[in-house]
Amino acid sequence: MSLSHLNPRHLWLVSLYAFRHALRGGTGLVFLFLALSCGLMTAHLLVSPVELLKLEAAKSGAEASSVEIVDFMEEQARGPVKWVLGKSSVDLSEEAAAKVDAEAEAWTDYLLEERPSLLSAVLLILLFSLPFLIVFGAFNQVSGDVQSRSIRYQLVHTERTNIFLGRFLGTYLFTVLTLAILVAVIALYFGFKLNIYEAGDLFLWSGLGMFALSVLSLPWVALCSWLSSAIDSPFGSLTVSSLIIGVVPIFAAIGKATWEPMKHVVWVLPWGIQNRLLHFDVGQVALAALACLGYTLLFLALGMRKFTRRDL
Amino acid sequence: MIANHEIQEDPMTDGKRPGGLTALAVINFIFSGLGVITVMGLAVLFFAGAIPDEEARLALEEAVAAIGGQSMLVVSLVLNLITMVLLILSGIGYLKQKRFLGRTLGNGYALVSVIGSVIGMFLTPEEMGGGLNLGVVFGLLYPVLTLFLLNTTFKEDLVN
Repeated sequence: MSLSHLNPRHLWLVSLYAFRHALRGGTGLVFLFLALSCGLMTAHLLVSPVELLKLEAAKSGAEASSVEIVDFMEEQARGPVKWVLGKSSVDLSEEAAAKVDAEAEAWTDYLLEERPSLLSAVLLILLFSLPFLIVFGAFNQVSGDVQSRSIRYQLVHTERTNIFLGRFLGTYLFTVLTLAILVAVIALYFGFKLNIYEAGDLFLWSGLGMFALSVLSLPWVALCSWLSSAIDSPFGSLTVSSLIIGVVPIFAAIGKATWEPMKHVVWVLPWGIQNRLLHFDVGQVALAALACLGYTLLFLALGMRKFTRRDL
Repeated sequence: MIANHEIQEDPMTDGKRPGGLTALAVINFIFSGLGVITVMGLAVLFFAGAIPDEEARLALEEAVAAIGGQSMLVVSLVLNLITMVLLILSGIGYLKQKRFLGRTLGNGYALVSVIGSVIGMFLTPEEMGGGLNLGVVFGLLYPVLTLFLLNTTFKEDLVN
């Protein structure tokens, strides 16, 4: 690897160009559209029952307050949320399972009672869907230009390291900006239209949620950078990235049925730690964030190794 | 040292259609396909009175009343029809990089769609998804994105 060739100015220019070219190139446009559509529809589906209940209560003259309606929704959501957060309790000893169950209970309380519950639900769904969305914005970081040989025009002017890392940075910045717009729209809607949470709570939780999404985007964009540098065809890169991201957790889940240690395959990607970015314990959040950084460095190192040594 | 223009100029793509414009055309065609389904659904409601089966006719007439009556149905049908045609024509315009077909009709689609969303927001009963809600924001997403992109990012690409 050639970090010695890293030139901050070149890196900045390449990343700025990748950021600005994201919409024009098409991948960023598709990511922007899919991420905003997916986020807004998720929020809409979660909020609609609350709004309908409010409307019905108002029409029938009942005294059901917004808080009572949200309490009802939280009660409905408790089971699925606890299952998502505590699913690792399967196949554990009785004592360990009880410990995991207690943690899941406390975690569910934190997300549904201490924090704005609807926003927590949106954030959990976004954390899960983020890897699949990011692929659409990050699959073509270098593969298209390698295939068309147009990358040679940049190679004349700067080192491969600057191109690889610059494009990673540009794609990441575009991803974070899109997610920030999405979280801001949803939080503003919850704040002004629903009017059931304290403004301060909403602001703080959407900020922390945005932090979780930003940190989680790092390893997934880096994974796409690596695969994009290894595969010449943009379509091939998109297919392989999507398959790897989707297949790893399924492979781990099915594999452990035949051979228990296979469940550890899930740690190949950040799937195992990503929910912990919304944990009630700050230490767990910090550990999850560090693990995300670790994955990012690993994927970037592998990608850079490939990109700096391959025939362009 | 490297200069801004050295990285930004890409001789391999000069004069070529940007990938984003192709993506925009594909999304247009997908939405126009969905528009065809919507128009067909609305047409079924429009001709509900001609259905011989009493039970089915009453159910459809109830559905028409729920979305705001026959006049609202006609407005929806016409707006959806116009939107669908504009989506297809502007999609072709994006692919051929035409100024009128692409830019003018694309802007036209976006404006009609925004107006349609605003009309729907005010005239549709709240129980049927009227009023300002996240569904409306979602409905405005693509037209607003189209307006933004056609007048900034792809402004210089639709010149034929």
